[in-house]
Amino acid sequence: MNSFSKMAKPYILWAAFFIVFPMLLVMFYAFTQTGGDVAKFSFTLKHFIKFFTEKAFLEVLFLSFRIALITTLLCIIIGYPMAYFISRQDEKIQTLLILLITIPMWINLLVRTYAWIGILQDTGLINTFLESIGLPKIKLIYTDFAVILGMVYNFLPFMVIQIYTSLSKMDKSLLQASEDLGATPFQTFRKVVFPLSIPGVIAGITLVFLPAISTFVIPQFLGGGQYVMLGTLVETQFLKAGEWHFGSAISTIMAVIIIASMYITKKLDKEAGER
Amino acid sequence: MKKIVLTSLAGALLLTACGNKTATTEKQVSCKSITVFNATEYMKESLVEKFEKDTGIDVVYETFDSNEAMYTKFSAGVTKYDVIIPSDYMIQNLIKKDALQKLDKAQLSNAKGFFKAVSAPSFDEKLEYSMPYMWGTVGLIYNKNKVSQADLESQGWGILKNPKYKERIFVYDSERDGFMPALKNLGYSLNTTNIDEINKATAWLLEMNAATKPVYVTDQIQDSMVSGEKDIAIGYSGDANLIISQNNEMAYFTPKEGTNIWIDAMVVPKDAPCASGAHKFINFFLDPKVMEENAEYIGYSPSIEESAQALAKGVFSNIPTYIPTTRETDEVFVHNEEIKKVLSDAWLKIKVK
Repeated sequence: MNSFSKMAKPYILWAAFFIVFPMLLVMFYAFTQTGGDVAKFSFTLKHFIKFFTEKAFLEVLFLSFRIALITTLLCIIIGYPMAYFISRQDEKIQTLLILLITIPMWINLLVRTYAWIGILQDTGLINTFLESIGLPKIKLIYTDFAVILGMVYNFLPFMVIQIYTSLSKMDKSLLQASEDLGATPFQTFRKVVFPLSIPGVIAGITLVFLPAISTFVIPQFLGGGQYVMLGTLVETQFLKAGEWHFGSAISTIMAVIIIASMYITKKLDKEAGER
Repeated sequence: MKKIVLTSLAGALLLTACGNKTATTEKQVSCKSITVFNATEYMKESLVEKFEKDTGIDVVYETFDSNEAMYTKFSAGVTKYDVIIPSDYMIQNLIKKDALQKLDKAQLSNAKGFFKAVSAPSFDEKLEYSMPYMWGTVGLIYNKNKVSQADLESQGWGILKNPKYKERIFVYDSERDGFMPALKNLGYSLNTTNIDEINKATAWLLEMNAATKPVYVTDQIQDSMVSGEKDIAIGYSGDANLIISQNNEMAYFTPKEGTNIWIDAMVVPKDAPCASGAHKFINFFLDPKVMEENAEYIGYSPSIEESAQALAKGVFSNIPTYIPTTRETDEVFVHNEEIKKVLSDAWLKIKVK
């Protein structure tokens, strides 16, 4: 054990340099402002006050939350039955199906999102087809629908794989016991399978919700520039407005949200385990 | 190794002490490689190779997505660049920050024959620091079959507020190009520092947002206008050239109220490791023939009139607006840190409405 903890030491150094130090730097920028002199920094809370008092920024925060929550929820609703179905197949077929689910992730996110533009836009695949059979065009791109579709499409594999893992790890004798004791298949699912798969669902939530709330490529491409989410806001502050301090403050707010949601999911996980 | 460093240092000291013509010729022998920093897809690569072959100077070629990203990387100072090709307002900012060196005209024999509109730009009136590369205007890219020419002529930028074109419009998603139509339509300068005028422009844009519900995009404009996704888009004349050459239903129009003239130009940073090589590179790309070939590849309009005329009569003869036209009311964008922050915040509020 002792020799193992020694082996971890280089990692601590690595973590300090590449994780803790950058985080501290971001926090430093978030709580400071540059004075008239370039080298002078002074403590301030004005970036946070600016964020929480401006309606536009709060709308961005609200929109990010809303989209991320809807995405996570849909990922569970679609992903759970999928994972359940896969876990009930032959082992060989299971491997194949999981492979099929991960294949889209081999392609770059940007390319996949661009492909959705080609499918959804007014002159795109769907509308061209509708037109050719004499139906009116429907407005798909630059709507909530398009953004959520792109997000769910992108993040679904994370949810499916997590739930699938916890379902396939499950002790099959428990299912037999439940059946032997006279439970209907639905009762078995509700009382045995679902509670045991909750850790998978929670891991899936973490893996979907966190990237979803900070994403910016998908909403920008499928929702248009008016679809400003937290990630977009940080990008604009750093690269376009050159406001490093305000950008850092938003990053800090995002970090707090992420840590808080991780804490909540962890707590849920524990409660589920105790039950 | 130490010896080499010492001798070269001593040599450099000597050279700066002399500081005359011989110094520059000495330097020409001493550096074998230059680093060029340019926007993506903004130079024909085979021409860079030709330059390398002709001069024996290696070119390390790096690209950036936006002037702001360029400035962030440049000011980090990790890489030292010899030639950068930014836009007007960014050049003005770099001059102000004392980051550029004066160009040695003696080494730039091809620095002639520029368009009048770019030969004395406001950010560098004597072309002391910069050599124009490509230029153009900001205007409306529109579908000839869907947008009435009369509306364009009579309403100018105001067409962006015309409910007739509801949900048919792309607005360029940057506070700079977004505010310009509003300010120009209201009869103000696009470089206004008057907060009252900016507020009126903000109100104008909010009205536009409500009346026509435009979609805010940047690079997507090109692909989407080629496929005819929308009928009107705010865009750069250079992008308009590319769009029109792929979809001849599209055309380009600059409203009567005036617009933004943009100029991208080649500059040499003060701390360029190989200034002589940089001059050679700039001179090479100012050669009318090279300029023509380069512009044909990029699709934008070159700064040298002879090259532009040749292309307008040749490969781009199907684009009537290939050579940008200018008006008295046109302006070059001026960088202003304070105003930029005001516009940037206002722009966000307009978009999320």
